[in-house]
Amino acid sequence: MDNPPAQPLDSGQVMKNNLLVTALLVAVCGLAAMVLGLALMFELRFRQVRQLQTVLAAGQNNRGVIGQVINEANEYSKTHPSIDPLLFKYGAKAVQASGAAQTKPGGR
Amino acid sequence: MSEQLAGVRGVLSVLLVAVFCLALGAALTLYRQVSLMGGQLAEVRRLVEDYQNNTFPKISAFAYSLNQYAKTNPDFMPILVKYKLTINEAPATATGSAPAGPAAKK
Repeated sequence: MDNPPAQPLDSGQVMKNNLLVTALLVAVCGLAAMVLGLALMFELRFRQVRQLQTVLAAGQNNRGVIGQVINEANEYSKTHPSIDPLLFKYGAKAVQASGAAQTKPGGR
Repeated sequence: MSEQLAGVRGVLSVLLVAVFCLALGAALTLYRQVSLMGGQLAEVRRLVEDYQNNTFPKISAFAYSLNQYAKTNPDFMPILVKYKLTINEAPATATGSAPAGPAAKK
């Protein structure tokens, strides 16, 4: 009954002006911004790589098709030698395709 | 009460240090991944440029020559049709805007 009235506790001096907490907060916010930026960069580069890999896959497919055409053209040239100059011009005659994807026109 | 407040401040500091360490680890990991992805992107770009500037023009020219040959030797045409390699347009030479690839049907 004779207790003195409760005095409000001034916590400002304890919490607000704490240099360590402020520094840690600033550091954490800075790192969070850096993580966000890096995540965005990673996503952008990943999308670009995926897009370009689609183009590469189409190119591989084209190479395979041309390799098969070269094989058939070589077979055709056994009965129709008139195609030989064309095959020699593009370096397709001398190449005996063991795998279709490894042959391509254009002399070396 | 002031002791409790000091305790809360201590807990807050520890938590902030922990979050800082986590964020630092995440940032370092992401930085490494971004660097690796950058190298991969450069390599893929190089391959695509090589294909578009060197390989594809040769493929187009070869396919066009085969089509020209097939006009005078019609028995070769079924091979071109089989691989969908029939092309009526000459490939672009200098501008770099290559026509559709060997799979183009005309």
